[in-house]
Amino acid sequence: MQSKTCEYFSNRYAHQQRWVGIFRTAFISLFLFCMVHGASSSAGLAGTPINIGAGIDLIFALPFDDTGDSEFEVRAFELNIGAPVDPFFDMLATLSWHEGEFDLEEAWASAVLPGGFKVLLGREFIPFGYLNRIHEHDFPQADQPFVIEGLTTDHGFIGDGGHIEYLAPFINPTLTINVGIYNNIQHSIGRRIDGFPVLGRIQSYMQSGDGTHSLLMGASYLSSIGSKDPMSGRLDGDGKTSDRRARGKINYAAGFDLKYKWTPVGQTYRGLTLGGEYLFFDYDAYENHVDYEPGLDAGDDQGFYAYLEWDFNRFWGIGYRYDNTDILFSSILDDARINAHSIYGQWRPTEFSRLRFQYQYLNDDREADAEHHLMVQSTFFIGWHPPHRF
Amino acid sequence: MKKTIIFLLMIIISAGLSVANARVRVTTTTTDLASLVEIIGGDLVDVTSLSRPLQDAHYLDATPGMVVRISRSDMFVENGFELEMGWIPEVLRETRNRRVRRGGVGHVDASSGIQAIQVPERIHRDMGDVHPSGNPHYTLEPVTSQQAARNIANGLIRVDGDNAEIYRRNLEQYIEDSNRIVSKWQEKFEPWKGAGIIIYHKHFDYMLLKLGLNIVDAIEPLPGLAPSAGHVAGLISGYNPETVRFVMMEPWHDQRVGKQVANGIGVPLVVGCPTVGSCDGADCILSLFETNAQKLFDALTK
Repeated sequence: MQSKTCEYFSNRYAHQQRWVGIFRTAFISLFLFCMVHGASSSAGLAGTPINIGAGIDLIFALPFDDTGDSEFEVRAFELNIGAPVDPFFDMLATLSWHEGEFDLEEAWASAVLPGGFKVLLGREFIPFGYLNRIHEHDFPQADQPFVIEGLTTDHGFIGDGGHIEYLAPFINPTLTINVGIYNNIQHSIGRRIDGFPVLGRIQSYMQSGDGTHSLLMGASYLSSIGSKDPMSGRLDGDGKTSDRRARGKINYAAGFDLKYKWTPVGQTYRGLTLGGEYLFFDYDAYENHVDYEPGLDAGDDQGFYAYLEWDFNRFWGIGYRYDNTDILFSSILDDARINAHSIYGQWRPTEFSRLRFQYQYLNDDREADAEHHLMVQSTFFIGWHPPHRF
Repeated sequence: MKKTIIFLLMIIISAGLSVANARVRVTTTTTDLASLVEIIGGDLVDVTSLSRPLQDAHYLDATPGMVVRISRSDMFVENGFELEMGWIPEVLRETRNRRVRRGGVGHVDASSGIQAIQVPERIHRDMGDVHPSGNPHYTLEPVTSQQAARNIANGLIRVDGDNAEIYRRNLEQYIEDSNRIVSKWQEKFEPWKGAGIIIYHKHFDYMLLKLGLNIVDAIEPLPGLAPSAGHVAGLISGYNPETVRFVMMEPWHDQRVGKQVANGIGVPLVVGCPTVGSCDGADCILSLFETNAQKLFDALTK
């Protein structure tokens, strides 16, 4: 499914097309190799246990106002491979096919250091905010919150580089500090924060004495050192770019996230979850942007989502999400803003399959009328899947 | 300056006191294992369980608190047989303490050497949420848990060799106590040997089989799956009080379904104590067995 925001940002960089073929070939080769030589959580290569799993994410979207635009698509296919390398290192790689693109989403190795430190090097979903570290099929709703989709691209910030994580020796509450630096941060469709992006995140988790209340809070900051060249796309003949994405210098981005869970005493599966994130982007518009007009103040972008979910048991749950966000470079786009209300229900027959129904009321400033959407999402996993965090 | 010196002295003194009173810090995944550690370690250990008594250890979220707790432990004990496979790998990967990771001197897989029941001949997801190594709920039966106790004792000896004799002595005592208690209940259940039982999930199977009872069916059509109306109707129509003496289930599943099946067949429903600490009286692994055995005995003698 592509919402209007996603559709708006979904043009591809021309120079990336040549990578598609390379990724496709490598992806298929590796997939076949793993299928032949590996198995989920069993002895694979040279008798070494390797965890391998694959999943698909299917979605059907029906806009009530224009049923002719309804679509059913395979939104993503994902292949996960992970295991300890030796007593010192762990490794994980995630290859995906996402909206028509093959991509190496994650490929990193991590190691524990003395003094409560840990280092992770490679390509990762950077620890900016909460949802950015989670794969799309594991998001709490069928679609992405608009602030995530609009401000961090429709597939999150992926960075080549690494981060150091410090875990303070407090049990309750915990304190985790991340500091990262990346060669660049990009997504397969090409939005960039150039120079050397630097990241900071502080996070705390606490739990009540009886374990019924749990709270996770985090604050993230992303900026860049070195030169910032926002231009990475092609220019039209008049010197302006027709590519509307990333046509500005993102000076810094900040985010605050919160997740709370309440589980009644004596219950394992039943409970309430509240979650939300607020993101703020400070940027300078690039004067070569196709929509740029002299004197137009670039301004900032910000937005948030908040949701609550009630799980009746291990199998059934319902929820509601509210979105209120700018679109990246909204000042250029006449201060366009999105408001949306979503209600959803989900059924999890097992840990490895899930079906979601979601209704969404969407009010986009760029459109005269509000829109109504119905989405049905189903996800299926075989083999291993990386464990879920709180 | 004076305050700073006093502050530093207090830190040094408190550090010295903590060393003087040092106990082996142990973290376990379940309260059952925590109970075994307490039995073997006695006053020499300080043990914490990551899951709480009424939490199903199959389904927990890996939290930062778990990571810190394990990182600060001298020993970590997991149940094994894939019980915690949904969350422990993440916690162990994140831990800052190499000694408690798999292969480390402070890591104990309590299932090591246990002859599991219900080991599937083949593994497919269409068989439900089966465990490749077999049924992981061995802690419900104290004699089978003797091997887990041995593994824990060996782990404690590795990290605290000075007190090895105490750990060995406590292990011997546990073996003696568990043999005596289980034998006592086996004798009491002798008249009902082979009595049919319907269970919800395969949680109490080690205990039920040890007592000579016969598990004839399950409310879950396959492990981990919710029962359909058709399956429930099939249980009700397929059994009677002659073939099934009671229905047994865990408190974290939907008790309405258990009651429906039990009432439909015309037998009692027994809601067992699934873990140490989940019921009054079930405050250690031996009393957990006795509490559950008493519940079953009461149901049979009604």
